[in-house]
Amino acid sequence: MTTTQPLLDIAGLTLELPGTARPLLAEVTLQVRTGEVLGLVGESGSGKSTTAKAALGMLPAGGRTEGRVTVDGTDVLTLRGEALRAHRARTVAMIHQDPRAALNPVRRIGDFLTERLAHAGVTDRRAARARAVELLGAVGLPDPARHVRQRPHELSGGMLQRVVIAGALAAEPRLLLADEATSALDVTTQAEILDLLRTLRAERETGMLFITHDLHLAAAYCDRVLVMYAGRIVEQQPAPALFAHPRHPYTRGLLGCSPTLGGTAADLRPVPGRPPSLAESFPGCPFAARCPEAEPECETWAPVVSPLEPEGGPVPNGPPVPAGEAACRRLPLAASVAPATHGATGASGASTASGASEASAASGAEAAR
Amino acid sequence: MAGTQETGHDGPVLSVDALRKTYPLPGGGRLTAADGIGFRVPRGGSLGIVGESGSGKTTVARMLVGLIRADSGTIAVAGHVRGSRPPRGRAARLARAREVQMVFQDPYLSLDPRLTGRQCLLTALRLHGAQAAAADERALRLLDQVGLGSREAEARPHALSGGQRQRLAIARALAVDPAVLVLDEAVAALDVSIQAQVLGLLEEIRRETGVALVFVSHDLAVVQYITDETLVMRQGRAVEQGPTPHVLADPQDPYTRALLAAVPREGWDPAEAVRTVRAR
Repeated sequence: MTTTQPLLDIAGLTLELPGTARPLLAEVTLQVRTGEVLGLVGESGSGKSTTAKAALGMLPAGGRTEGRVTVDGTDVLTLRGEALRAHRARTVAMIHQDPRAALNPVRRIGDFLTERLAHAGVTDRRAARARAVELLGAVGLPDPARHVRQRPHELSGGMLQRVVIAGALAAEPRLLLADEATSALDVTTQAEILDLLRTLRAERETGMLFITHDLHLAAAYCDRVLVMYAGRIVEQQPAPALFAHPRHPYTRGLLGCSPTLGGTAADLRPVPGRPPSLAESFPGCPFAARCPEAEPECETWAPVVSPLEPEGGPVPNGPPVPAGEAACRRLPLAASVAPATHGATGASGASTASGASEASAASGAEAAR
Repeated sequence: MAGTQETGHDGPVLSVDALRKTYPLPGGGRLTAADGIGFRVPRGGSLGIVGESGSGKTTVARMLVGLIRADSGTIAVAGHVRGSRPPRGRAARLARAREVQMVFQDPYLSLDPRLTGRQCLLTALRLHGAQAAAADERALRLLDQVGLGSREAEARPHALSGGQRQRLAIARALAVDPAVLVLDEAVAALDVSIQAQVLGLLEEIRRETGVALVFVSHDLAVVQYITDETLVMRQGRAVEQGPTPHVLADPQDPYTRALLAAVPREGWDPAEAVRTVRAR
């Protein structure tokens, strides 16, 4: 295994359920590398949680699945029985929004942790007990030896989310899936939990898929951010680039309607319409109906994700372009412009060769004018 | 702020003074959920109440509507000071309902699942004495005012989206032409695009009808868009109150500063936010 291999690798994942007009997921492709936080943003029903569950091999029954989901080199969708249980217990851990729903109200905090530890292979009761206390300490609970004896109702929401995180860490997973893990918490508690997750990621070199509806949180916290709409990825860029230069109209729309401190009511521009349900299908771009920039052709354009050229055009011999992509018909495609740059830097390849002839034809036309 | 004459129509539509509420604690003693809370909201004005969970903001909201009785303090709506006893008799209860209406976080829980949008509004209108023909006409106007069409008018809550349900809940609250509309985390559960639409709608309604808004929220960024004044609560007390831009741009209380520091934004570092929060 090489270090360049992504921890989570989802390739062309499409998921269709009977009785729905559109796929839940359509050609979802993403990678999370070791130590990286990949943000997944989008509105309700965009497919964020389903994407995360795919990493656990928990896709809805009766659906038709295409594509591949690999975690740490293992093909997740073909796992069955004991191998699948081991995958869910040890390799990947998910943190949900509501810690009270994740914890059994009549069992002690310590039992929750020792149960997780047993799944992870720590079967000695005494060792598990000691490890549970250790884990609670690691997530910053002040008096871990007391907390293992308490029940969920005795702790606040922020403390319970720490317990859930301690449980997630019990098996020392390679990949953490945080599904709106801080959305139900007060902002001050959210900051504490995020700080904790960041520290743990640095210490344990886990990768993290961070699902949130809060764009400003994604901007502040993630390395790269991926925007989903109606089961599709519409844009992916490094966090600073996405927020400085959003390229897809939906990303711009989301940013325009997200409340910002220091903003005024005039800055808040709602996106018209509402997120599509599973009963709505689209012959073309799913966002076309709500898009302020849509043209008639968008209604029939089948979305394709294309690499982005850097803002202001390609820079010959400049620093490497940050990897980003978007699925919008109206975006100038990097592929049609890139060859000039690649030609200058001596890159080769089939696409470059054909592109270069186009580029020279274009410059010939320019000269003729 | 004190000393205003509150009996005429020129005074603030909502005047609250020294509001206090305590709850008994299981082990004895009492929890102070609200203490010394006072504010004024003029006609068409809006007040934001912010704070963490457990700060007492919902307790204050519920006292305004009359769902909880205050231990002490006064609430006056349009110059009419509320008695310490709950209203007796149907007429008095309906009169109270016309003073202050409330919109909750989850419209799915606050709407009758059996009623269509139109029926829901008609029920509220007829309860308050509207004649059949007038009620029909008013229901359609209300639906139009909150941006719901004929399809939504005939749909039951399960067939509406979250944003449409909340619009319907707002329409029902407006049906009795209340002087004050209390919104408790009313946009917290909505998608951002829908949240912005509903905030725009509330602003429009406030301008057109002159209803005063009390907007309870944990989200400082949202509060800034919709309120003129902000009251910051911590452990039942108002730690800071004043014009919203001042409170947010130049917070005087360390608690307000901590709340602001914890709001994620570009270049924000959770570790730094935690330090500010702990220093409060």
